[in-house]
Amino acid sequence: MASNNPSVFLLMINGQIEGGNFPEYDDLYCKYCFVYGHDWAPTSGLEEGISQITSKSRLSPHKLIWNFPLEITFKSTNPSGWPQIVVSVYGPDTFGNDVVRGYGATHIPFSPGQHTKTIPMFVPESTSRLQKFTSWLMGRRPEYTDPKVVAQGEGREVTRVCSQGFVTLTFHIVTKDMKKLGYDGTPSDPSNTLSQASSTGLRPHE
Amino acid sequence: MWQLDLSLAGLLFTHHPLFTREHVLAQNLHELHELYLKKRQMPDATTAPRGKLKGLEELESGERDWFLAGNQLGTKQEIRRDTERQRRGIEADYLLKNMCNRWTAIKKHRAENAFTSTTVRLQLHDRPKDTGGNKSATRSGKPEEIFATAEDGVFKRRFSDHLDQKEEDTSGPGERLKNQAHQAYPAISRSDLIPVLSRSRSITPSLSCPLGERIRRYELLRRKITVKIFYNEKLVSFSDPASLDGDFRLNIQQVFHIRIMHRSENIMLQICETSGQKSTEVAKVYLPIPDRNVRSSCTSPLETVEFSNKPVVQPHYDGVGSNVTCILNDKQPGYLLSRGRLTYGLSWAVKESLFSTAPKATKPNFTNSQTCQVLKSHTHEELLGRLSDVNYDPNHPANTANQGLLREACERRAGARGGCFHMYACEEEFDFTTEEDFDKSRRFELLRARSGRLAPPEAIPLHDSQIKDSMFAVTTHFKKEYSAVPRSSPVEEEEEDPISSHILHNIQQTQRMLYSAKRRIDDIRKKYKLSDIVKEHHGADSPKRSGWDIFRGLRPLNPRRSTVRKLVPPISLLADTHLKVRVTVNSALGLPVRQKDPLKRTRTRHVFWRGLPASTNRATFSEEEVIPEVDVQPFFEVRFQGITRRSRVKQGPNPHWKEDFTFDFRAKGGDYSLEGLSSAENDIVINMFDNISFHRAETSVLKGDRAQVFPGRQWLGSVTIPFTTLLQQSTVCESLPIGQPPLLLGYTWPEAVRTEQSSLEVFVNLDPPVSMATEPSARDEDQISQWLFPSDEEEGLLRQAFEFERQCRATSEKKQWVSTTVFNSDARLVLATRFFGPLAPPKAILQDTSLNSMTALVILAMFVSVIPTAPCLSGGGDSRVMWFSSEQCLELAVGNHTSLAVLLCNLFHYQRVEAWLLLGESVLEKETSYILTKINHTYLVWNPRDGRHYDKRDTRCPLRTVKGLVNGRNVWFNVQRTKQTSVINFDLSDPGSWKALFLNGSPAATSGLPIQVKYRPVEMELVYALRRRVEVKLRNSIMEWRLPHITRWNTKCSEMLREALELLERARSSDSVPTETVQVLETMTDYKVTGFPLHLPYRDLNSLVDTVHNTGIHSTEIPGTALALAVYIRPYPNLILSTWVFLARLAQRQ
Repeated sequence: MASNNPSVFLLMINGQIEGGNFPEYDDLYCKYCFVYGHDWAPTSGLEEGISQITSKSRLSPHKLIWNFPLEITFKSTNPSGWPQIVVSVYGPDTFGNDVVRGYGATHIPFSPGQHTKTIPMFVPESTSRLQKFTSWLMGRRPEYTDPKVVAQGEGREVTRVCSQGFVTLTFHIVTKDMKKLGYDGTPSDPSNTLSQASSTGLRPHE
Repeated sequence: MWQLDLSLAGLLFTHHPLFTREHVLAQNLHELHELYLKKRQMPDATTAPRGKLKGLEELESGERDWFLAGNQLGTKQEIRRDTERQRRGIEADYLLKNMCNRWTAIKKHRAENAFTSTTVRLQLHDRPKDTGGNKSATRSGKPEEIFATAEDGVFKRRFSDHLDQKEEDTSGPGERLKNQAHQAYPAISRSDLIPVLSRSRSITPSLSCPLGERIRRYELLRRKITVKIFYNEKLVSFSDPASLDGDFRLNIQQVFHIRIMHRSENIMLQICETSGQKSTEVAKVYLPIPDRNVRSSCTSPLETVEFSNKPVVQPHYDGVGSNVTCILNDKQPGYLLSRGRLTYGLSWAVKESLFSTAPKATKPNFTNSQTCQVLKSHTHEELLGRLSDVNYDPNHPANTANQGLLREACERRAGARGGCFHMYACEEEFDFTTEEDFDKSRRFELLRARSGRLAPPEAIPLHDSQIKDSMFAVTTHFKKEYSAVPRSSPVEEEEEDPISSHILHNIQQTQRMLYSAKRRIDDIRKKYKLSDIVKEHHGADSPKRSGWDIFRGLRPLNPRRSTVRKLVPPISLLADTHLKVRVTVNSALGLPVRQKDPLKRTRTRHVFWRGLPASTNRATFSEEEVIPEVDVQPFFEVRFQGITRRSRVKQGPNPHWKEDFTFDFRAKGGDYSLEGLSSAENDIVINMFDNISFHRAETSVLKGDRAQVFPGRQWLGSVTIPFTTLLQQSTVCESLPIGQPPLLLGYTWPEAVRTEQSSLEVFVNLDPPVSMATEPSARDEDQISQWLFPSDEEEGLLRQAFEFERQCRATSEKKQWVSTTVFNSDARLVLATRFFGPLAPPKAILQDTSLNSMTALVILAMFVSVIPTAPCLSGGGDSRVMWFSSEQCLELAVGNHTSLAVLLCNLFHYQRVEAWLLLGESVLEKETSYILTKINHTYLVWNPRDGRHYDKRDTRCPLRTVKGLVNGRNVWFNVQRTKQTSVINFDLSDPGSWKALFLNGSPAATSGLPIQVKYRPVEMELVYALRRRVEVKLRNSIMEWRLPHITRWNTKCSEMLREALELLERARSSDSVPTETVQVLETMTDYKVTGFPLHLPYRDLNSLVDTVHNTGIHSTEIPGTALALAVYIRPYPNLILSTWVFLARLAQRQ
């Protein structure tokens, strides 16, 4: 493919799932997967992963550190369906059953550079108190049939969730040929934008 | 490209709903202080009068002399001026007094409340005496605090006495001044006191404050203030949200660089206050665009703008509120509006070249009134030239007269595409392509198709050059599937005749209707259920049961079997070659056998034919010669998705094959959704043939000995297994009736069988077993969600219907139920009984038959069976519960599965025959609908699709089980233990057998009104033209298929076949058909004729051609064979065409 006339743009993602903040739970591990639109395809790297189990230390009683690396490259023709990372955290309950401790998702940052994201996590709730009790007793917390539903908005209205902890991710983003295809994700370029605030004005949302 | 630098310094509220009284007083004090400072700053405001006074005093002493000197006027002016100055000094003093009052009030307030919420502090400093005369105060030494704040009381008292005295003094100006001067001098003059206002007082910490104050401070902390910057009404940036400090001050200290392309119209700052999630606009501030000389390099001056707003905020949290009456200490109510000041600096940025980036000064734009002036003062031509530069508002009502002129001017200007109408500054940003380019782009067409679910969800290449036509082929396939536009193939470019196009149009319209209704239903139905998203543990609903499981033995002697659930892989995971279809054909029963030459008994001259022994090495041939003993040599072909497999040839009318074939299932376009799976092209077709091919050994000098094979086949019938049947239960293991033509020329059934109905035992399954059968529990929820659908029915009726369905499910062990409510074509929920009512058939078809006679019913059934059906858009009951009304069926001459049954039922009603729509399951199609009639205590089951009828005890009847009956009066559900059609009790009055929806017949719910349909006659010329066209088309197609071989047509035979077809159409009662036809064909003495008529509804030409191709009539390559083809179309009103095609093969007799 001639470099001056690219047919795809690339989005390279490096980073890691640094850790989580789950005050109530310990011995957790996490899984991640990517959700992306029709026009996107991973070219290299791992789309899914599962981390080691981490326990809390005495020094930082709230922090769980995974430092689980992410490395993936996507190609696409269309920014619609920009990849999202879905993180789900699991751990043992009182009886040692492996239950889910949180789901969360975030879009991969648009602009090149380094980004740190803290995503709040949540879990689905049981439909009734009895159900809650039995699920606790049986060690079967309600789970999502597919963790990827947290990356989409459809059908959320039927669920009830409970928030639970945070997971921190860092990303290092490199894009290729985005500008050549007419997409500009960087806020500091003067040539394309009509009016823009300098970095003091716009800050990434936390 | 220019740049504006906007620096926001800070923000101060001078009133805010969260102000306490103390804040209000303190603010008041501040304002007084400011005023005071302003007064003091005026030249000689306080010092000059004192000097003047002295002079005046001196003057007064010698006043008379002065008078006499005649200099009176000048002195008077002098006095007036001095008085004015003195008045100012008095005002300042008055202000000082007021400040002291406020300060006392604040102190009092602080003392009462026992806490401080403002930092304000007032001190009065003494001014050192100017010994040297009228020197300004700037040289004053270090101020000495003479009044500690605690001593204010003393000061005030002294001062107030002093002041009262002064105000009482109403003597003449000279006197008063003197008096005052005298008094002021020895006393401590206020003019000598300098009030110093500071913010040094410490605020009481929150912990020691009362609750109200604490809440107020907390609330204040929660409120964040943001300043949003709008440039030309477009949000450009915003400052960081920050909360106010205790003095309602906000330090922003941010610089925003705004790069602009368009000339600025306005810059607006919106001050927003956010409290939690709620954001309210405090005020909008419009900033003036700075002069282009104001640049960032020189320290741009900070300017202050004031803002206020007037929404009513009730006082709460100890705050005083805004725009409500608030009583301060001085007991007089006042209204305080939220207001404040914003400090900012706005300047043009400077480039590296030290030139300003401000836009060049342009000619002032014409305003509207200026435009009018221009128009008045110039000639037409000049005007146009000048107007092209005008920026003006076309929507201004004053400009309507000038619009036409302006438009012309714009057209003259090159490339002027509305450029002068600068309505929105950003509009041009979106003009990146033209509408035509957009439509032409193949990529966007694909993208649009994909988002409309018309193309497969795959990546689409970026450049048009990379988009292959095959992608569009898939898209068109999807289009065909969904919008159901049967595209004529490229070969079929010839112009359509009016009938075909009309029928095509009707079918398309119906399918569009179906599709849109289905989309609407799907949209509602697609709502996720909890079970779709959340996986909850349902295994142990009661913990007790699971508790006992623990104590149960590990290996119970009597293991409990749990029902094995069918493994249903998620449809989305399917891909090509994953899904296989296995078709096993075991055996066939009762196939027709070759008729011994029908003429052999009548025509003696052909007798020698049979007696002739088969001789393989003779040049003459005929099939009887080769295999004279065999009745029939059946074999079959299975066709699935265009792939055809052929079985071995067996002998005799009851062959046994036990052959199985495996087909890879390939969904078109990778669409493995249920809709894609159940498309009509996926049906499994098993064609039964009689093998009439033979081989003949030839001995030729040149080629030596070789066997030449002449293939030949004769179609006997076919079985079509809809793929939806497979999807519903994933296996079909049945003895299926073979669909046979009404007449099979040259074949007969053995005397022993006498049924004229052959059957085929097949076993078809899917691997892996994909099943659409949803769980009953999920169905329950589906039913509940049906309340979301729009409906015109009464709420009570719907509830009753729902309750009925629920009870049906509860009573039957298979959780079956009858749908009491169905969708009409508008996707509205309607009670099923509404569709019924007597409907008069077209007059033409029942001319010579009496009412209620069996023949009339047969004719009506035949009439309904020639109405084409719209292909099922999606299987699985979705379109089954969508009914067309009978009017729609006849108007459009298109029906769907159930609506044809409803139509037939309505036609029967008109004949005063008791008829019901029968919902049940048949052998071929699982969920299906038939018609049940009761005539003279005999129950007949009618199939509306092919017009056949069966006695309810008839074993050939494809209907197996009966779920329920529906007609205009009621809905009945079968609660008998056995559902078999043959043994079922059809006595509807028996509550033990049938459960009725309406017990006493609710008149509101039932219909039974006559249905009016207008029948339109058909023009016969068009029908004749169509018949000729079909005939030519079929003939050409057959010749094309046979291409290396010559096709000979026997025209005489064709004529006779046509006559036979007419007879067939006319004589519907089937008994007399064969004899009459045979009589026609008996005249064909020279040929042995084998053939069959096809009777089918006319849908379009291609489907006819396909059907003919399916019979394999063309694949006979026996030399000396001639073909005959006849087409006959009998039109019914509304272009319902009963089409007959007779295909025959003629073997020449010697």
